[in-house]
Amino acid sequence: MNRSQSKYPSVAMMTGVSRAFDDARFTRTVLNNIDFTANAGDLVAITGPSGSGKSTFLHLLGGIDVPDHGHIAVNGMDLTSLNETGRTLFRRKHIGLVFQFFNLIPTLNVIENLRLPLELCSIRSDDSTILALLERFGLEHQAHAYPDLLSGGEQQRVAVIRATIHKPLLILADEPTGNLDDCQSRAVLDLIRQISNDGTCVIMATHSQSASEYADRHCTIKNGKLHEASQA
Amino acid sequence: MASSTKPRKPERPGSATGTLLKVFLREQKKSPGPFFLTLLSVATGVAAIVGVDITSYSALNEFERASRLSSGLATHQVVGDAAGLDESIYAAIKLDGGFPNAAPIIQADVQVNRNDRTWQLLGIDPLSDYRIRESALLGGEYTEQIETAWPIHVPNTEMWPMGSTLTLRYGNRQQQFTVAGRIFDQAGPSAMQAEGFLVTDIMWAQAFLNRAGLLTRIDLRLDSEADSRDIQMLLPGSVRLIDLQTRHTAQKDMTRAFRTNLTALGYLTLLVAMFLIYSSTVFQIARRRELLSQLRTIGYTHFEIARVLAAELSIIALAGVSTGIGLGYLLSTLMLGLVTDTINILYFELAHGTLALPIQTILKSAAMGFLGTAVAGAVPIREAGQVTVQALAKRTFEEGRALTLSRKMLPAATCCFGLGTLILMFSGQSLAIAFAGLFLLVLGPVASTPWLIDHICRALGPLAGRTLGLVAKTAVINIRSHLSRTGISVIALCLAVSASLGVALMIDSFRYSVENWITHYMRSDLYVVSTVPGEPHFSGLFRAEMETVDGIQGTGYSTRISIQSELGLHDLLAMDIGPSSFRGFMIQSPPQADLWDRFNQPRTVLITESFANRHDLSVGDDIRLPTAQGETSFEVIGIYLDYSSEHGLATLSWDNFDQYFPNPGPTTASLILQPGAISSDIRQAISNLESAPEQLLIRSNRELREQILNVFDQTFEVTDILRWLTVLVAIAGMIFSLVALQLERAALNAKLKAVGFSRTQLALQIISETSTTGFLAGLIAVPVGLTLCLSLIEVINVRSFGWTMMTHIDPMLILAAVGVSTLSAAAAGIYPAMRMWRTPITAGLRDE
Repeated sequence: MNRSQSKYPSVAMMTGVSRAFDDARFTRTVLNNIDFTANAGDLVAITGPSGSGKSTFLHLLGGIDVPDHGHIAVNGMDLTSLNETGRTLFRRKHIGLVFQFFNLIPTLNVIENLRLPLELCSIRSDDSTILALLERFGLEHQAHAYPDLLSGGEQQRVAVIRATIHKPLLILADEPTGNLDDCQSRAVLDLIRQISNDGTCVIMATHSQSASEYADRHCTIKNGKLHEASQA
Repeated sequence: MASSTKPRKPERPGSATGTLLKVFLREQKKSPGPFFLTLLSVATGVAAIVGVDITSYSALNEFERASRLSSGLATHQVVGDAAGLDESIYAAIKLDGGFPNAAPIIQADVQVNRNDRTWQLLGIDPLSDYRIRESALLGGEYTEQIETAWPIHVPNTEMWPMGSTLTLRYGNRQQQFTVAGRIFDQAGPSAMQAEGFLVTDIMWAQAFLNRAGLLTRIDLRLDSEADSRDIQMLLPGSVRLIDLQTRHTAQKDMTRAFRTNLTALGYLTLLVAMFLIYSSTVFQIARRRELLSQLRTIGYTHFEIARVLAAELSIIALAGVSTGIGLGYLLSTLMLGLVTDTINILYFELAHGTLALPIQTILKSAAMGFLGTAVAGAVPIREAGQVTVQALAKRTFEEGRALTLSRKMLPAATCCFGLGTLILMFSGQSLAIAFAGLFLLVLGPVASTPWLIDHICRALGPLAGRTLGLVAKTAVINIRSHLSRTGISVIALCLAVSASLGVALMIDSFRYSVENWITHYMRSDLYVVSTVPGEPHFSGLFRAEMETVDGIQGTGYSTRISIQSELGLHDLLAMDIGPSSFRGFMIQSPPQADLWDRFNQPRTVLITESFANRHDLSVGDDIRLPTAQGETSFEVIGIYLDYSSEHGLATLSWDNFDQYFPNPGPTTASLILQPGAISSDIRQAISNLESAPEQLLIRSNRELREQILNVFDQTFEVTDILRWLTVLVAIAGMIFSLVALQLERAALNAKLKAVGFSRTQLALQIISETSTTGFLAGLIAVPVGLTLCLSLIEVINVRSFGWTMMTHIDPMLILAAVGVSTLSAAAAGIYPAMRMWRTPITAGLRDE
């Protein structure tokens, strides 16, 4: 069964979304009249060649960018109706982002990095909760280490935990395993799988065949259009 | 079983803003370069303002202190002519007028124990003086006073213990006094504060100075205008009542232009510092591009980021302001002596006072430091907050932004230049507004420097490639692409170099004009001056004997006195000279064939250009001077160039002076020698004359010329310190931004090495890039410096000092300015080149 038609409520929805960029010589349409829906608990893999618009798709859903046409709603909130500050405030509470290059704050240690989204959302939490979370994912020994002392896989797992620690509705992951070896990739993907199983909607852009195999739904962006493969 | 331990209460969440500040401060700790540059910029700007302010304040404070010690609480003074006041006037004021608050004073410059230093001897009447000085002058250790003949009170009994003797010299007289007490200032029992004064009873002073029955002045404490009118009625025609407040204000006003010029230089340093604050803030934001992008992604709003960046900048500003106040105090210790010496040379006698750090200086400089930092940092911080997450994450953003900025700045720069020109033209007599116009006039062209460099490099790039090869071509391309990092530092360097060049050219033009004036004006071979304190006038016998010395062809005499006329306090010069010396006057007014004849006619006067400009006088106008016959009108018959007095001179013929003013004789003689006469023999012969004053200074034309030019150079030493301070700040900023830029390029250098560039080629490329940037900034600074120089000569100097000067452009100064700019920028390339040389390719690539 397609999870988009599941019992879970719709978390992310795009309607007629288009986005084009002005290059030096011409305008390049990256996404053209896209419709898309994802529900809680979905793990969606977005694939496509380089420059096809995967990152743009995630940026639009995350409120980092705005479409030229169409509407984007996350948990019922129309992001296109919000200004930059409104989108930022919405993102900090309801969306978690994971990037290929980890994007941990280099001057904060692991526990401080994980505390950051909680502080932003004014969520009361003691360090024991964060430590328990780290223990669950095998990172408790690195709690007070700075990011540059962690392996790539460890950094990405911390980044994934940071993206989920404030319990957002939607996780957007842009090439989460693009910088990791197979073993580290599996650890990260396992973690993402667990998060999805806990009911969070995860949308992941990836080049990796093995990563996309973790997903429930498979979408491809090509020539500005989104194609979803039917479920086996 | 229920757990006995209570569930742990969740910790209060940390502040997201606090965490953000922590992130930024840890970044600063990790690489503190930009932090220290911003701190240094704020500190230097504040230090310049504090230094100038403390120095001016302390010098004026010293003036106030000296006035207070000398005049006490007196509101008015009764003064006579050079011969002094008859004691009967004091009796008339006190007995006939019924004014109890009057104190007779006799005052003279004396020397102590044959030391060169001059002291002010005040002879007072203690029974009257306490009404004026409230006993403070002689208070304190009264019980320790010694009863003795010829008693004297000194400021410092450590130097001269009680009971010790001092030998005072006045003219040819000398007398031994016994230290009988200590002087205290009203401000407190600090002996140092009364430095420079010696006090004795008026009777002893009159006896020592041989002025029995005479006073220098009478100090008065008057309560109303009516009192002063009543006093006027009691005074004979040649005696004047002076309002001290008006006189002090006039004296302080004399130094206003000098102080305004110093203040303008102080603010210029702050302006250059502001560019560097802007530059380092932009650099910090560029350096944190990825971090800011991450923070925006996590959910920090632009306002939250901007707020924390502002808080971080405030911390730096606080540290910078504190450091700047300390540095400014140190700077003022260096400058106070120079400023006091300059005031001594240009305006009035002033002792080297002690430094004071007034609270208003701290508040003003702190406000200026914070305001300057806020203005300079506001734009980059606002931009950092407002850009979108993706734009912030793109490296090309900075370069694109710089080019847009440089294009946007061009119309702003043109407007700035136009507005500055208009303000300068229509600023009236206000020096402060004229300086504001001048800042804009200079800032306009300087702000377009990045745009100009971009276009010059665009034009030169292909040519450099064809003629100088790949390294030069790459260097030129890099200059253009790195303007985003270097643009503001280039503006700051260009501003500092152009300001320094403009001021240097103005000073050089001034010096050239003074030299030219001396050559015209000083036509005699020897100049004889009496330096006897109190009695510097030549006797008739000495004049007669001097004129008979063999080898002297002609003599001229002059004397100079200070008077308070309706035009304020100014000097009056009387000259007893022949027609040949009269040709030395550089007449600025329309030529008149009979000027010399008219000069010798009654009630005519020549005035200097600065006097004419200051009081808006022209030929044909009358000025009223206080003469022995009361106020008398003199017709202005000519205006001449003179650089000897900033507040101007009125010059009379000897006959006119003799007729209208008390004339105890000339104080200076100028001698024209016969051809072949030996100067040293004549000097010896004059010194050996029986009638010669005991202290005589005889100088040749060359010696006097050198002395005048030395004094001239001395008066600009303070300006030079501030000028170089500004240049040093700009150079520091330039070096920092170029070093920072080159260090950022470590990965690029590694890639270039990997594709086959040699280390020599890369080092050459780095140094050519930095030195070409400095050279172009220096080149652009030349026309700006010339414009500044012309504005200073034609507008600021005329308004400040009232005199005009010739414009003299020394090519060496221009070459030096371009050289300083080029070499400082080239020096900035050395460290990155060395670092590139040592860094292995693999390390550079790993950084990427």
